[in-house]
Amino acid sequence: MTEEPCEINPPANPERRRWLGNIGQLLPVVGGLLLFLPVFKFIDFRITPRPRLIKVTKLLRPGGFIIEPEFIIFDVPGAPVAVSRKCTHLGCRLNFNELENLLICPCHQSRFTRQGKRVSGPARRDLPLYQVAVASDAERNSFVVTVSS
Amino acid sequence: MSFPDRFWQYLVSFRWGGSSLAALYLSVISGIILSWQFEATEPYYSSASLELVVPCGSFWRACHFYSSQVFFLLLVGHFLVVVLKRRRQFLAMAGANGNDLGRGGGEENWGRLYLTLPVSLLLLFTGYVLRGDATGYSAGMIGENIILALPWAGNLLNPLLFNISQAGMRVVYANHLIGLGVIAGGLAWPHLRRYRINIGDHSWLVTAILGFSLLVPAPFDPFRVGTFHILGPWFFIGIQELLRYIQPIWGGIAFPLIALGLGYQVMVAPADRRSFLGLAIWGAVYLLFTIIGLF
Repeated sequence: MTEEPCEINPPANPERRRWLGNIGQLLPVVGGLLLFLPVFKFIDFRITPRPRLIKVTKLLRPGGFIIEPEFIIFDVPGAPVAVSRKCTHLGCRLNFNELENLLICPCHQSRFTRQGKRVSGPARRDLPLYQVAVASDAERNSFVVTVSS
Repeated sequence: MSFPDRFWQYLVSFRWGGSSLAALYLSVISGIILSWQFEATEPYYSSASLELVVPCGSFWRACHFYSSQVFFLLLVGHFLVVVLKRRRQFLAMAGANGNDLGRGGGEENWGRLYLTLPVSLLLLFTGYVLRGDATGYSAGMIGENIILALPWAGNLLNPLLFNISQAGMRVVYANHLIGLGVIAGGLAWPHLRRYRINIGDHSWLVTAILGFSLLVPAPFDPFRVGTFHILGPWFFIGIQELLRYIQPIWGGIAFPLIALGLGYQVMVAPADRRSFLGLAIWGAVYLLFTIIGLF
């Protein structure tokens, strides 16, 4: 007694099946990427550091400045301003050039005004200004600066 | 024998790898000694104290600094001579048409060995940063901001590599002391097991470094109110200058990555003429920017 070979019907559309199979293989990859999206978004977020209060007890002469590691306090008309010394290009510490009346980055020569406005150089943004409270208005020699970055 | 041939023979006969390793030993020993007094939470104060107050501090600082520089320079020399030697061997085997040759194999894992070079460069860079002086601080901030310029990966990599703004020198110190050293050691371990050195064979080099360290203190640039121009570490000047003209992602990441890729290619496939040419052009461009930065 001979057994008749079992006939298997070929798929109606093999190309479509292959295409669907590829899509099926891609689904876990796409799903995995979607799962990682919240991880990337989480990691990419930068929490702004808590503001710090820094007390400076130095004499600020009219039109003068006080230089601190993180900022410079300038005596400008109105109220004194504290300008960040961190260059907005790549974070180098700025110095104040009295001859040019500008803040200069020693690394890449970006220049900023006393108000932190960018003048020239590779930096694209102005310098952050910090809030200054004059603690002893009568003597004008004590300031509290709120550093917020 | 012609002059180029004699020069080549001299280059090949010099023990680049052994001398580099001897300098590394000196660097590691002096680094361990320095770590007794160095305080990463106050790097500037600590470096200044080492230089001015701690007995023999200036000598150990200089010894660590100069031995590290010598180690890296000899390592670069070792890399170049090995690559050129392998290229000559390949060309000799296959005639003039070296481009038809396959990738070099042999006992060494050349790609793995090559990676010790960028890791050593990072070790050198973190060492500069840890000085905490005007140059070191600026170099560290530039490094951190270059990494942060990387979209997505920047915020992930920065806490692993620098994070000076948030954590001071803690991460940099951990990387310099442990992380990068372990990575470099792991990469070079099979090679180092094969080639042992006798430190006595390199006594002239060790003596020269120790003598130089006694006479010339390591650089230290205090923060000065009137400083309007800072030059980074010698190997970083080209990138620093480039960053004046182009965005950090191109000048600080893409441009060095080109050299990294070309260097890898010439190491694993020394017969590839285009990679050699590309690396030479890259080197010339980098030298040009370094010269512009210097003047």
